[in-house]
Amino acid sequence: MPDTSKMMFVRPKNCRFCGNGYHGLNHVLQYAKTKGWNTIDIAAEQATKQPIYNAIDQQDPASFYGFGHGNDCIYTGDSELSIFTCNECDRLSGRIIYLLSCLTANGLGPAIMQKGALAYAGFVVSWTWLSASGTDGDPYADIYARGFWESANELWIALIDGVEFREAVSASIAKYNEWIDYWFYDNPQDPYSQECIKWLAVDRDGLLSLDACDIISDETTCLQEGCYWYDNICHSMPPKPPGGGGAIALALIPIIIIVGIAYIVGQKRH
Amino acid sequence: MKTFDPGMETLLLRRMETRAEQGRMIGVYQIGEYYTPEQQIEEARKGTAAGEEFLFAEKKLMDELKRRM
Repeated sequence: MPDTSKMMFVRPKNCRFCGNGYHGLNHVLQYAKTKGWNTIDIAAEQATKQPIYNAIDQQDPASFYGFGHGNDCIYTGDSELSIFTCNECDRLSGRIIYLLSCLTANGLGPAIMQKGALAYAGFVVSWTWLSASGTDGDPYADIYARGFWESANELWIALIDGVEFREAVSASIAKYNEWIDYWFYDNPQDPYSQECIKWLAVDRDGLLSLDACDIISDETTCLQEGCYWYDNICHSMPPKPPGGGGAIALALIPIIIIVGIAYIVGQKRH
Repeated sequence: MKTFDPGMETLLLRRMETRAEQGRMIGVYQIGEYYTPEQQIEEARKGTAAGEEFLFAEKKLMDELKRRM
């Protein structure tokens, strides 16, 4: 069983435009340390296949946050050579995975889930950000880059804080929205405000999360695994109750019945 | 990736060009790629996969602005 006290970070530095990611993930790494997590940091030149495989084999972390280049079926590290592919991702079995990388949700993410990961989050789009200061430094120090990296990191910050995976994904989406609001309401005069809104929205909507329920395709197995079957798809969460007035009306029905009975009983006594 | 009808594609491209002319477009980084505003517009004109992404993003901006107005 993977060690649930251990959290692994992969932070390549020397691949193209990777400096921001190297520094950006460091914020989460430091936060995890302050919260008492047992962290494994595979950074810069070490962020290649063999050191990562060795660390997984020896330390068996239950969660994995990796940044790097990606495509539908590949995630790469410092040397831009593959670390995980659709055919080589068995080591991620039994773990929670977040890949801040382009496009992996289109192939590698589902493959990771099929190999037995507990949950996966990644992007169906090319994750895109803006920067006025290049990509070598800390993105939190850049007026444009900060919102992108903070929003992406928020998922893992939430997990560190102990929320469930789905809620952590929601927290990340909320952070993207918070930054979109900032550029729309608080700083619309900035010449690049609309560019920020545009790409924050693309990244937000390109975030895909998968858990064990999401990859089940038949109703019987879905229900056997404790998942929920509706809209002809297997879900990890139950369907949302009817919203707005419908929900209020449903909640009021028992109250109305009780008041009605009390009234009738009262009338009879008189 | 969504492919737009010609009218919408023209509109999105024009919006990108206008913002670039006004100096309100900036280069974008993807992990491994960098596109200047001119390159974004060029890719969109050519209809490459990257260009489709840029048009898709422009549509996303339109929707996001509309939602907040």
